[in-house]
Amino acid sequence: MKVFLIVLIAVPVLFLLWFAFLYNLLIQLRFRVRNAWAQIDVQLKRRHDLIPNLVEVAKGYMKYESQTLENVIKARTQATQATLIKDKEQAENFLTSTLRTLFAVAERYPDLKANQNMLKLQEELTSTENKISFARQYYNDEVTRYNTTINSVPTNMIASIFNFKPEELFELKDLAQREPPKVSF
Amino acid sequence: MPYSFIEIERKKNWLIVLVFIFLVLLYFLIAEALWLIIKFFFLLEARVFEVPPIFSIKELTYVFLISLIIAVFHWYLSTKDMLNRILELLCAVEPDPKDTYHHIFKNIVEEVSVATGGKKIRPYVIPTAGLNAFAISDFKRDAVIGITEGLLARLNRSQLEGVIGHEAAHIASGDSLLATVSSSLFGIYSGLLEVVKRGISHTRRASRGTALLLLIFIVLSISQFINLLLNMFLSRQKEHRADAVSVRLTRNPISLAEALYIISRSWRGVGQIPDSLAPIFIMSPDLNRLEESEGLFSNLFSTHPPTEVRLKILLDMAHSDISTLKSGIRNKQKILIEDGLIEIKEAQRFLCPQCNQPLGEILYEGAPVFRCHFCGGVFANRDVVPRIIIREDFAFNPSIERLAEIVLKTYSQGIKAGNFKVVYKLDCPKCKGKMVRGFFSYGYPIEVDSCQSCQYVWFDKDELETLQFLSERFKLKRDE
Repeated sequence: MKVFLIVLIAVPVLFLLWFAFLYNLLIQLRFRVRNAWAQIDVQLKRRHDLIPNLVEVAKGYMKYESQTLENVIKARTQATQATLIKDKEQAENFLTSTLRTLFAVAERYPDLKANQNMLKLQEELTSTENKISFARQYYNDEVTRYNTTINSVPTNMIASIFNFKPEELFELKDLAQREPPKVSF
Repeated sequence: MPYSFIEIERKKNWLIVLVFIFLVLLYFLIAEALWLIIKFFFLLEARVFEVPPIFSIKELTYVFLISLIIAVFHWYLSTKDMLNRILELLCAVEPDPKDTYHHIFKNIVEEVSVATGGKKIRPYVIPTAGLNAFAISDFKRDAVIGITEGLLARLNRSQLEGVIGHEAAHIASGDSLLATVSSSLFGIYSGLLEVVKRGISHTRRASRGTALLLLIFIVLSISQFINLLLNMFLSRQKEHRADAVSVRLTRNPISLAEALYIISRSWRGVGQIPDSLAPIFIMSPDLNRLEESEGLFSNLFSTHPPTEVRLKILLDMAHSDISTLKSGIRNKQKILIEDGLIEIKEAQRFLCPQCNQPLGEILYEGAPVFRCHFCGGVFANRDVVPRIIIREDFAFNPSIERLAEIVLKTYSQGIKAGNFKVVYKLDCPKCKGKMVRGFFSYGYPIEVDSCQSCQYVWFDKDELETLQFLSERFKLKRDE
């Protein structure tokens, strides 16, 4: 009888403890995702801060390309205003495409290409682009881990009770289009 | 095999506990052996009839406690402040923010630290012409990635990204913590061994001193063997894994393969360092037959896998092969000096010692120096000059070549003519003291003026270019 009573109390207590442990795990994962997102945000902001300087330097050389420069500025304003992840993705990709056009046009101006300020800005932009891409990789890794956890047994029960929603992945295009590896037979 | 940074975070902590147990056992064995010798010695002297047992639990416990205390003491002393001690040993310095090359390096280290989820990684530069890179970290999650000046000058940006991504992988996985701890634990011994070796080769006559040195030599050789055993903990596989993580990060296996190829074909030395530091580098600083072979023995005792195997794996990822790689590596395009000099706006106000005009601060091969716009003389720090010599961005006029020929032919006449005495000719622009006129070095007999108190050197017009020309020609001759 006594043994039965102990088991009767111990099982729910253990069950509750296990429950709390799983809940804490989910909370931890969710915070890691948020932290990873904050890192992307920092780098995106840095990118937005660099672009006005870039346009300023390019303006002096590209007098007949005002349309390209205006597009970049417009895209930048859009990107700074976006808040949702989906909107951000779209705005940043648009910004990337305008920047690509800018650099393609800049190829025609050898003076601009050799300008020291331009070279410096290009190095900073390359660095920031890399940081964005690495931060994105890290964020997507974290999101995948979080999403897998809230969808697998037994954590999915806790996730549905406490309303843990799956997070979205963040996809961006690279500014520097990397060449696909050459396949040779 | 885990490839993403969150998966590989700290899975190796148990190995560090193993290293500590190994240390305690080592001291225990030594202490027990010493104790037994002393015990037998006294027993012989005392001539007791009743021989006590050789081992007793009580004695073993005492010996164990003593060796535990020694091991803890050793552990504490060698892991305390170990990052700074290793950096000091390697003469590593923080990157110069004005220097273009250092700036790029700093940027790339920041990039990979973002990739590891915001780990703080400090960049450091070793001022040597050898090609190598290293990563170290400690228990407080402080981490350092270092690179030699020579490698910075040789690699382009994407190759550098590959190398630094490789080092960051070591830091995130905890490999570098293990390597740092083990190399600083046994670094004391291999450092001592070097000194003793030198001591033996310097004493000619056999004396009691030599005998003592020999004894120490034997003891230290044993410890060296232990270091070799310790390398078994540091598996060769970690290098392959770090290569894989680096490729996942940069998505560019070719660049990493190119970088590894360049490093493997060049001199990788980083100065007088103990052997136990080898595991922290991307490639072993010493040329080592063991490292480049395969098989059970070399798998067990070496710290790095053969370069050939590493290259093959990387090239397979990109569907390429070694001959394509070789033809793909081009030397950097050289530019004319006039195009390569970059003005820095916020310059300190120094006056030219020759013509009393203000000096402008410029980037010469990416390194900050002061230059007179009128006479073309250059005023540079002694730390900066080696960087300029290592880098090879500039193409030289034929006049520099002629000047170099003349310098090589005539410098000995200057010595014969009695120019040995100390000559003061110019005043230092910085401290206004006298500068000493003399050769830059015996290898490069170019007469320059140097200030002894602020470590700055004044080059007259074309002297710096001549110095660079000579050093590049010597390098070419060496490679042939």
